[in-house]
Formats: sequence, C-alpha cells, structure tokens
Amino acid sequence: MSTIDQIDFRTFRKLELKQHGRAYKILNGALKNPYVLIAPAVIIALGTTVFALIFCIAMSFMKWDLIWGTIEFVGFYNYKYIFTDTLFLTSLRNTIVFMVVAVFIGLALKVVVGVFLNKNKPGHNLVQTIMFTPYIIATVAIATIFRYMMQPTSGVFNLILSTLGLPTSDWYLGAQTALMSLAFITIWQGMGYGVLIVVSGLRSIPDYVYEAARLDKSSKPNTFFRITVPLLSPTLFYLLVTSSVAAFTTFDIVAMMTDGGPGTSTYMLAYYVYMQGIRFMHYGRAMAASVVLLLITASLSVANFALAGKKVHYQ
Amino acid sequence: MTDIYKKSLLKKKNPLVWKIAECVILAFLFILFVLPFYYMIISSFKSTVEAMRNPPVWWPAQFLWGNFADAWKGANFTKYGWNSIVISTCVVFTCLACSVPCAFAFGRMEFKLKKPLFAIILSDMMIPVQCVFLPLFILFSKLGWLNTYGSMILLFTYSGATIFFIRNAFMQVNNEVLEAARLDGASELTVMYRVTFPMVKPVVVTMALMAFLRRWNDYFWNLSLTTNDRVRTLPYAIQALNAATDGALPRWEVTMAGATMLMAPMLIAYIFANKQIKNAFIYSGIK
Repeated sequence: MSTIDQIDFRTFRKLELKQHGRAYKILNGALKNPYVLIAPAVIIALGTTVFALIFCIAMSFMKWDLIWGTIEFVGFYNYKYIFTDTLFLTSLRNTIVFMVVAVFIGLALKVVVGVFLNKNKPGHNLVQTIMFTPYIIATVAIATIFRYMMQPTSGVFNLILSTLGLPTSDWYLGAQTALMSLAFITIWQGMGYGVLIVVSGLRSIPDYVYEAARLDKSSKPNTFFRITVPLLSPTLFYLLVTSSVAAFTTFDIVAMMTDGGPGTSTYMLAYYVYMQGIRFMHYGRAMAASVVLLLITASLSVANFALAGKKVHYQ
Repeated sequence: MTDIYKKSLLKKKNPLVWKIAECVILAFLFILFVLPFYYMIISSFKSTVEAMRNPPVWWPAQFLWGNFADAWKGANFTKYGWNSIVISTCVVFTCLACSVPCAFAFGRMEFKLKKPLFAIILSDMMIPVQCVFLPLFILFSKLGWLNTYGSMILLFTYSGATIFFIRNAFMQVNNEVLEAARLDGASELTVMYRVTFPMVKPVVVTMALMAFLRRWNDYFWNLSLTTNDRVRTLPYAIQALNAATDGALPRWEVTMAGATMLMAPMLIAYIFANKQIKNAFIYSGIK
C-alpha cells in the first residue's frame, strides 16, 4: 500500500519537475484538446466500420472482374443473383431456423434456470459459477469437445442416450440433426451468461413489490407473469437482441464443426458471405449477401437502442 | 418481518419432496456443465485405442503426458502460442491507449460535433464484423497489410463498447473533485492520471480483461484476414488439429490435449478470479 503511494508520489514529482519542459507543454496542451484525444478511435472507427460499410454497399451494386480488373455498375444484379441462388436461400432459411431455436428456446431456458438459481446458497452459486465457464472459453475449444462427444459410434452422448433407452442420433454428422446440434451447443455455451444477467436482473427487483403482491394474495404463477417478467423485461430484451444478433452472425461453430454440411444443412449467412468472398472471390455477391445480413442485424440493434432509452416497463 | 413471512410461506409449501427435487435439478445442471470439461481433460491423457473405444473410457489405465507434447509439436504451439500472446498483450495496451483518452473526452469535455462523433464511435456496436470483413480484406490486401501483426492488432484496438463503458465511468466522476485539483494548480495531465484515472480504474481493468479475452478466443479474423500462417493464433492451430481427426486414424487424445492447452489460461484465471470476471460481464450486460 505504502510502496504504491510512494511510487505514485515519485512519478508525480517527476511530472511536476518536467512541467517546464517543451515536450510536457505540448503533451499537456494536446490533452486539453478533445479532438486530439478522440482522433485515434475516430479514425479507426471511420476506417473499419463506416468506410467498410459504404464500400460494402457500393460494391454490392458492382460487378468486379478480378481477371481484367474492371469494375462496372450492374444495379441490382447481385441481389437478383443471390435471391435466386438456392444456396443463399437455404442459408437464409437455416439461419432463421437456427436463430428461432437458439434464441427463443435458449431465452426461455435462461429465465427458468435463472429463477431457479436465484438463491444465495452455496450449491446454487457453485452451479451458476460453473455454468458461466463455457462463455469465456474459445468457441473453437468448445466445438472440439462436442465434436468428440457427439461422435455417432463412440461418442458419450449416444452412450448416455442408449443407456437411458432412448434412440441414438447422428448429431452434427446427420443432415436432419446437424443444425439442431449446433443450436444445442450455442445454447449450452451462452447459458451461463444469460443466467448471470437474469439473476442480476432479478436481484435488482425490490422486495416490496413482491411483498405487495403477497398481501394481495397473488398466486405464484400470477406473480411470476404479472410482476417478475414485466420488471425483468429490459434485461430480457437486451438478452434477446444480443443473442439474436449473435445467432444471425454465427460463423465459428459452423466453420469448426460442419463446414456447412452435411450437404448444405448448416450453411448459414455469415458462412455464405465468407465462402463467396474469401474462397470463391465473388465479391459482388458476397457483399450483397452481407448487406442483407447487415439489414437484419442493424434493425435489431436499432430496436434495442430505441427501446433502451424508453424503458420497456414502468415501475 | 418480510423474512419471517417468507420463511413461514416456504415451510408450509415446501416439503421434503421439493428439496430432493431441487437437489436433483442442481446435480443435473452440475453434470451437464462439468461433464464436457471433465471428459475433455481426461481424454487428453488416454491412449489412441482408449480414445476410440466404444463404450467410452471414463478413466484411462495410464496417464499419458506425452499427448501434450504431441499436440504441442503437431499444432506448432511454439509459433502460434507466441503469436497469441504477443497479439493479445499488444491489443490490451493499444486498446486502452486508444479508448481511455477518447472516453475521457466524451465523458468530461464539451466540444462541437460531439454527438455525431460519438455515433461514429458506437457504430461498431451496430455493425457485426461478419458484414464488414470483406471490404477490410480488400483494403488491407491493397495496402499490403495482410499477414501482419499490425493489422491483427489494429482491428481490436478500437471497440465501441469499451469506449462506451469507460465513458460512463468517467461521467460518474464528481466534477468538484477535478475542479478542486485544478484550483490547486494541477495540470491537465496530473488531473487525468492522478485524480480521474484511479476513480475509473475498476472499469478500465475490466475492459482490459475483455479485450484480452476477445483477442485470445478470436477465430474469425484468423481465417478472414490472413492468407498464410505467419500471424495466425492458437484457435487456428486447434482447428488444424481438429481437421486431422477426420482422417482414417484420428488421434482424438492429441486434439483434446491441444484444446485443453488452448483454454487452460482462461480456465485457471477463472478458477482464481471468477467473482471479478463474472462481475465484469454483469457490468457490461446491464448499463
């Protein structure tokens, strides 16, 4: 404690002594100028998002011939192309199915488990802490574990299913089950974060609200749906938006586990953009697809910002 | 009063059956989230035959530490690990150097164009990277920045969310304290580093941690902004190990050892600082 203070004091003294130096004066003047302070962040932001966005939208109306190096304006050609491309339509459909399952079932489970774990007991806290671990682990590592455990012949999951007398599954290697397997892993990985946010949301609801409900002889389900859910709505809405944006831009797990397969059963929008852009070099198509992806996610984010200002509920 | 009322209600409605059910659900959740990690770590000690056996082996006959050495060599951990450490560490410093002054300006200063500039800063919260990586790929390849440490660091240097949270912390600092320091003759540097900065330190530490995590776990930019192995990081190496398991003779134990090593730093950090890490995420979730 004291040593830190001493070090701080020494650096402070050094700064004081150098106050009349030229470098110090320039630095000090620069720090008073807000434009200097924000310059690096604004420049990078302009380059990596604003410029990239404008470029992306502009290029989606162009045809870029990589062999001749010519760029010509083709209007909505790329959009017409992708909306008649079965692969794009499949990936759009897959993404929406994946989003609905991963987000809505995921959110329902997060709320239920969150309400269940909202007790300050050692057991509950331990489970909550463990549950959060997958969220900070790289998706690559998570996908590796599940690839191993979901092996159809020697995997743990099928062993457990057959021990319980249930039919076994092909998991991520079956065309019917692959998308749902990915959704399962996504829910599993995001569970701890959702529960953490739900629990902290629940703890911020004041006790007297429940007390009033109890005095009015409100039944438990009634209290839950009429009081807990509305007061939790900002939290739930935040979770809903962030997890649907994440679901729409799912990439890592597809690239890691299935490469869009088997067949095209797990081809998703972000993966389509990646494959068209980086692998096949169809820049125009890829950018048109990413504009579609952007429109979906941006409208979700705008809804979030608009509603975050006005609270979703009244207390 | 409230507590007594709650307890009496609970006692009436909760017989032993409910308590047992609660324990069963807790145990189920515990197993659901511990089992994959247990199985991964235990599998990284198995022999090749054990790793392939049906039914699965829960405890290997012999603990083979050599698997880790194989994974280290097979995935070229020395190179990719070095890349991971260098890039992630640099990202923490550049991210803070870029975000803290910017957040200070937005939180504590008044200037023209503040609102539109702040909208630009927040733009990356609205635009997912999957939508803009392609223009960046083209731009960086024209500039010759592909496969450089700089480009990998640059992309994580700026983060709208980081600036947003640090700015909120700056806004909560009491203005009178700063005025008092200025009246005492403190220069702007002194005000910033001696008075304001200590007050927002917890948030800044949290954001530094998140920056490290984001970069360490990143896989997307590894694939989309590089054309060779020069600056790729560990997640890519694990992916390469994984691809090998599709072959005729999969060595799952080596892949598992690799994945264990990839997540070991995060896991160890989480075991020792789980409260802080959880609080960091709560903070970023609820504004």
